[in-house]
Amino acid sequence: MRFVNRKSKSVLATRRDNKGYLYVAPFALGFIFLVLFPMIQSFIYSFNDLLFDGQVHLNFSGLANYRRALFEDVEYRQLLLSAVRDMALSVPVILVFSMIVAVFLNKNFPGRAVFQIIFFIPVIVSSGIIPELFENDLVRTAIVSAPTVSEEAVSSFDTSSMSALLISLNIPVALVNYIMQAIGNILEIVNSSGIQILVFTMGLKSISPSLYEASSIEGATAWESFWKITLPMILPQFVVNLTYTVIDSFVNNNNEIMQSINAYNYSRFDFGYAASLAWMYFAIILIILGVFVGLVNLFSRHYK
Amino acid sequence: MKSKVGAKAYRSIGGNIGTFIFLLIIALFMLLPLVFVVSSAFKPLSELFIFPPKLFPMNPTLDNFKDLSSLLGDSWLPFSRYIFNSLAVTVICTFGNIIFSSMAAYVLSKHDFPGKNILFQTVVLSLLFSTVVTGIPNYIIITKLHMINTVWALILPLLPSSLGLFLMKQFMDQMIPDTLLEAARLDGAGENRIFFSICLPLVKPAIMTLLIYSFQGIWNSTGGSYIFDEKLKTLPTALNNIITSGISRTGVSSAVSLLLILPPIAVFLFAQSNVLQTMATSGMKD
Repeated sequence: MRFVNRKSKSVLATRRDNKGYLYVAPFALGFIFLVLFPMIQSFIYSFNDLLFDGQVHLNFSGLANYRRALFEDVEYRQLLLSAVRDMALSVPVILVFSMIVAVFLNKNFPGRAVFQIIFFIPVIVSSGIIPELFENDLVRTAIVSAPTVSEEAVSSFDTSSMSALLISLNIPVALVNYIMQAIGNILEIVNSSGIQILVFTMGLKSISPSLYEASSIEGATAWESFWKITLPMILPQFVVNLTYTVIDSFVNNNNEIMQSINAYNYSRFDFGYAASLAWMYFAIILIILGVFVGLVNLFSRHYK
Repeated sequence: MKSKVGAKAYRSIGGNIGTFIFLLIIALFMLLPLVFVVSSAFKPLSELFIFPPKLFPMNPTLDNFKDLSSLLGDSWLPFSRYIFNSLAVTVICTFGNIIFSSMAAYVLSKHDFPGKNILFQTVVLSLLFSTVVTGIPNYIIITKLHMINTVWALILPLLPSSLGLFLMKQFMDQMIPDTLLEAARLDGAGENRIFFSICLPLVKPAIMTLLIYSFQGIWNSTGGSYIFDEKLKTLPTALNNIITSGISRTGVSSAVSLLLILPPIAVFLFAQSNVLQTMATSGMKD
């Protein structure tokens, strides 16, 4: 009897498991053969000198590529540092910015639907032609030189006078510089926040209105309910967005490192070296992402 | 409109106006690149080279489009061939992206099986990796599969979308309560039924998001080095050839840029009403 019972249960369980593999299979096969396998290959390439003439000829060279990148290449270390610095600056700004916009968009006000459409536009135009515009800074120069903005208006809103004002208000210089830099990059920040705003918006909508209702009956202000309800409830989306933003800023083809890897790969045909550059870059992104996610986890523990 | 009842107490006309103005400023920034692309397409050649560039054309003209159409008249194949190729590849791959990503995401999110975590973590890690250096290994794999210069070389590499899986899994974790699936199972629904009749409708906004995202990505992809046959080339490849053939083509290329962003925008307008709709998240009562 005992055997029969066990059997019926286990048949059910296995069937479900098999179907699970069936569901994952199409993705997993494509992923393993067309994403994972090439990655492993490139890892092998990074330890070799590579000659490619339709066939690949490998010459094992040990750590030579890595040594060259770290100790001989004059550019790579600097590019790496500046990429990390740019990202450390832009990621928090993008996250905070997209959260603020999402919170505003979640309010009820006339014209909301139109704004929701507009805020998704950066996602559509994020690849293809627009990045080129940013690369050449064309859009920004166009704004500054727009006929409606007179020279005087621009200079009176000069960043230096504004930072002087902020510093005179006893705001730490480092913070002021940070804000000024963010304002300078507003166009890029706004235009890389599309997906993030969307993810936050979805998170906000899944918060039950009764929570806010209860808290307002208990006398909480909107400010308090933001910190005590909204923020903890959208922490999962926060982590998703964090990951996405870091990835997006690092793997962006406008990124100088990516451009130099591109150049080594496609114009100088130095495939092994390009692979080693890419793998080092990958390791660094990984560490940074780990640090960021660790920080968020620390923060979320604060709520538990 | 299902709004936050509690927030009503704090809403005021002043707050509304403030919100409106804040969002308006941001929205202007978001629209600028788009405006720039549109206006460039209507600038005469002389204005395209003005530095600093102007946001709006001084003497708008349709010359760029006329030049484009005369250039296309000279090309080897009828232009509609490139458009058909692009549309076919984009539709197939976008559909594949969505269905494969959500199938895998469903299992990864709601089921347990050995190797599950490793698979998901590898997928996330692969997102961090630059696709540039996998070009050569990819080429070799496509060659070994005897798919070089076939339509498969255009489609296959675009089918697995790591980002799609990542986003879909996060959305499913969030939007589909386990209890709902449990209830369906007790009522005798099989896995297929659960997936197609319960999960997919629940994550419809996420699917629409992925639709927009995948569509524009794939639409702009060129198929790179896998294709030599002119008959199989896609629109971006054909247009790239036009653009790169010299600085005198700058006007044409700005017209091309405008044409290239139109289909993604059309898809977006079709899908957007679903994306940001208020979601009655799960059909569960909290």
